[in-house]
Amino acid sequence: MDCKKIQDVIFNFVYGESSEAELLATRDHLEKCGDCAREKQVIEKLLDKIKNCEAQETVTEDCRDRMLSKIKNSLAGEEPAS
Amino acid sequence: MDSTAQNKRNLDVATVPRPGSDEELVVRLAAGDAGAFDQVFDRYHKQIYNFIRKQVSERENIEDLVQEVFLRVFKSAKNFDPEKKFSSWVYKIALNEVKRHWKKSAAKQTYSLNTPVGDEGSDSERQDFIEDLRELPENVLERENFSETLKVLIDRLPDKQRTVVILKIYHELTFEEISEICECPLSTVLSRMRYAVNKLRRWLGVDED
Repeated sequence: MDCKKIQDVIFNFVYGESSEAELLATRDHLEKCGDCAREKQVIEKLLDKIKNCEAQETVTEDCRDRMLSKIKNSLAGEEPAS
Repeated sequence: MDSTAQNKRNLDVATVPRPGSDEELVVRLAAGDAGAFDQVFDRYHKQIYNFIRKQVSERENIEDLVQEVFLRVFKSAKNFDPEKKFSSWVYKIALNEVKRHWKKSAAKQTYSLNTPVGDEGSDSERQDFIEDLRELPENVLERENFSETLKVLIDRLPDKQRTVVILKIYHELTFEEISEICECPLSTVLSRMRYAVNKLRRWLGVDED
């Protein structure tokens, strides 16, 4: 594993989706390469900030009922969905 | 997905449909069971609502698009491939609905004028970057509210890159699932993620953070 190859696998690694071989090779490289280890930290921080910058919006019961009602009406052929 | 990750995912998915499982629900959906539809809607409408909300700029269209998605889910249930993951299939329908909306939306067309054609990192990447900077909303990088700044910048990512970022970061899907939803190779999904994150880093200047 070299610094260029790390760029291809870093997101798999950060999200725990690496294969076993890839995981070992990535860990090994990050232990030896300070630049790539710092790069990984920057990426993790940014991903964390993105994750926390916006919460899921609550769908109100009214909204839920309105959408479901329109869908059912549409399926019943009573009116178009929109 | 590699075998380890796939095995981990498989632990969460029963091989034999259990009552109330996605696999059981889709069978009932295909048979026209209205009760199953209610269950599918209640299980997925919040996720799909939020996925669409982050993909379209016109708020008044969100509910209509969600309705279209679930209409298609219900009508297409007979065509669902049981070898696939049901949630990925629902997201794929939602993404296709969003793409249809983008095509129809004049506002979106204007918004996308600077969207790179080769968003996996073509030769025009450098030029795209320069244009993207020029097109950033005024003073966006000086805003005190970092979260608001990030939201604006995520909205400005090329459509395909933004979709991957949203599905990965906010919906916590695996890259393999996103590959299935976006109907593109895993390597392309990873490239889109990499280019999106690199673009956000450049815009935000967080490389030395």
